[in-house]
Amino acid sequence: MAASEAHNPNRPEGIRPQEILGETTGLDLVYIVNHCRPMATIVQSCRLEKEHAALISRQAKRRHLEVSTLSSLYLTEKAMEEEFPGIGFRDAIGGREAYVLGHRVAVWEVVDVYEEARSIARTADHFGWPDYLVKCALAYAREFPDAIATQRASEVDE
Amino acid sequence: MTGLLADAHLSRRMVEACLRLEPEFPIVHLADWMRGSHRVSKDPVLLPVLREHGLVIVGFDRRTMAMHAGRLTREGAGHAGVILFRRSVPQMDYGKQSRLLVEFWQEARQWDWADRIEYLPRV
Repeated sequence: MAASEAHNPNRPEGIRPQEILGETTGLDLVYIVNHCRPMATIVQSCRLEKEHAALISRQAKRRHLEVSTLSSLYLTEKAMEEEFPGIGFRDAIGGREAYVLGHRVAVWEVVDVYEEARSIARTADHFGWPDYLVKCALAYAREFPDAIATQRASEVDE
Repeated sequence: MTGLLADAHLSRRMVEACLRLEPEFPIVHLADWMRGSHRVSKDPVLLPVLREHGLVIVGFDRRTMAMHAGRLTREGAGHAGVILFRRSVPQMDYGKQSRLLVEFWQEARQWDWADRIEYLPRV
């Protein structure tokens, strides 16, 4: 069995890797965001002003997403940004990726350097950042180790 | 002349190490280039800007960077070149990074870097 077809606990049963990667959907890889992890979901409604709803609708169309999918993504990521100041989200080859706001560095890249540096001070020195930025990234990585590992795996050949 | 731009995940210490090896080495760190105005720019924004300035971006291997560069090539817009360190190179081994890059650039500075992606060390 090819490595890519091996059992992946994050993959819903019955969904092949090609489907996750968009090869059968025809969608751009970076926008396949909600198919990688089985997770109980609930329906949560909210009211939006017309102009904001139209804006989200336009953005969803541009990204080839359902409005509800994009709304869910925005809401979740905004909540994460509030919970972990200094962390933002962006498109990457494997889907959405956590990164350090104000910089081009992904959280998994900070973790990689920290694993070499073995101290926050040395990691901060590597990037030329204040310590708190490294602490923000590591705090997020501690909370979501699986997501960070997945984001790293999608970027790095090893 | 084509120059090099070290991406944000590389340390300024690597840039300093290059300049110690070769004081005139044409490299600048992203955080210092244009007063850091592109330190936040995402790949699809940064690559076209670098093309305008004839700067080859240097960083660690990330599939997303290669994907964006490849897309620009396919669309005909092109990019100014990408040099990626393989993950076998330690991120904090600034000496190794600088030696690889300076040595490689002795030969590669003469190349046409348009739409070119190279990996270091070369195999």
